[in-house]
Amino acid sequence: MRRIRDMHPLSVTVFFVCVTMLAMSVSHPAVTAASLVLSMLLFTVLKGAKSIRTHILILIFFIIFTLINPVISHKGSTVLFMVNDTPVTLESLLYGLNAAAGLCSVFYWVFSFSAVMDSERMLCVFGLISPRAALVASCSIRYLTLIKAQYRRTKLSMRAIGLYTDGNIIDLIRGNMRVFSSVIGWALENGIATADSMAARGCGSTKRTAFSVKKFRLGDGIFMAAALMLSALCVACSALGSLKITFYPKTVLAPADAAGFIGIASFILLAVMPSAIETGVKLKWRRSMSEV
Amino acid sequence: MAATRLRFKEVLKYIAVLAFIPAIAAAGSLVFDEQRHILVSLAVAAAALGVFFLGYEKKQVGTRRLVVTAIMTSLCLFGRFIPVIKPVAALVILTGVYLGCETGFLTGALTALISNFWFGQGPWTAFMMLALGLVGFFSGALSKVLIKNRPLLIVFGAVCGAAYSMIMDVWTVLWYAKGFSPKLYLAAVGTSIPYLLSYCVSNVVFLVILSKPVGDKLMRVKIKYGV
Repeated sequence: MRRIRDMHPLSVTVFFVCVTMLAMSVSHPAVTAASLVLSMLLFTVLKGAKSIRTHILILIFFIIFTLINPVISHKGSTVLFMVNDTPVTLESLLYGLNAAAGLCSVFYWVFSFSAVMDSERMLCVFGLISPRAALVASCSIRYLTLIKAQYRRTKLSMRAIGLYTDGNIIDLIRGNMRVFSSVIGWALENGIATADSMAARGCGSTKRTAFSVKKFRLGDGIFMAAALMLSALCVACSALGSLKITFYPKTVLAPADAAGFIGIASFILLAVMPSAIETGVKLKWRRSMSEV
Repeated sequence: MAATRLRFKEVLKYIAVLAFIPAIAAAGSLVFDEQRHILVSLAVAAAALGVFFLGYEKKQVGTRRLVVTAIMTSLCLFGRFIPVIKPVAALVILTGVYLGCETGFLTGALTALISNFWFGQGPWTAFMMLALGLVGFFSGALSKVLIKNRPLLIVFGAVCGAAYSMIMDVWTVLWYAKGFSPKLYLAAVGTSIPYLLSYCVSNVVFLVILSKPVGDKLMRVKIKYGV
């Protein structure tokens, strides 16, 4: 077993897409609660002490999201209290709470995904779909740094010959526009030279393939297959109507049956997988370190 | 013969897309307990992007055009780091107008994809990619009119800014309520008016300033190097 970071980007992406989609689409409170807790756990496991700021931010979002719904929606039969002759209902509060848990868990999943995937891993996945577009993307990331450097250089030389001043806002804008315009010309001209040398080395002579140092190993395959199977199970149970919840006019959960139980269990299993792998690998590492 | 086969393939492609989207919509409303517009719209966005990228893979594209696309993308990326008024959409529009639909779409979509490495990836990336890509696509489609008529280009830029903001408001509503509700949409449009204005203003400002120098440069590259 390897850490999530070291797994093949494709299986990591498949996992996060599955879990995020389920978190967005299944609104059974058991699933949203599990999603919130487990996504929070994963983010904490990945980031450690650095995660505290994000937790605070998401807590604020959670409160806002919970309170928006009772303010704008007055459906529901159980009136809690009246504000300016408009009722605030229990049902709309519960709906807001459930929606907030779902949304915040999506935030956590997305943040964990960003913590695991960097641009190189993303380009690896993108290259599987379209090698040529991935080439364009990686070229443009390279050109971004070149353009930044050239921008600074051009600005300095323009200042030296008196074409760039930042005394007032008009001068600042005009100067930056002049620099930007010159950088565009430079980049296009430079790009043509690059393109010609790429063509001279055989770019475009056959179909492009994407290269990546990442190998797809057995563990990646198992992880991906498990993610797909568990989410398919959860979707199937949802299709049977066992994960249904209606809020208006009264909060009604679908009667608990085998399908509902399987659906919730498979979601929990799916969501707990990455944190379990991360923790397992960490423990193993610590144990083997203490043996040394 | 070859031409008819090509056309047949094109027709097949459109039929596949047109059949695919209702199929996703139907599946989305059948499988989940409510009408999950959010899943359906994400699937549609992903499908549209997938169709484009697969088609792009099949096409003959010269290396020079490839690199020029990369450069326009990185200029847009560079522009996204400027605070408040951003030349991103203006540059995408100019790319579309001077280099065609496909390059415009690719530049817009890749700009959204790559810049979100810094601004935060998420399910919204697919929506942003499609929205910005379509800005490039439509400016390419209207290129014949826009290339000659500068005032129209600027009006088009303002419209694109508003359209982009309103498409992203659809996302905001779907994100919060899962399903689409007109009331929430109006509220979202209302709260995002500052953004809408900032998009419109920055598009207009940058198209006024940039359309001549950037247009000239792209035209020159196009004529001199045959991109």
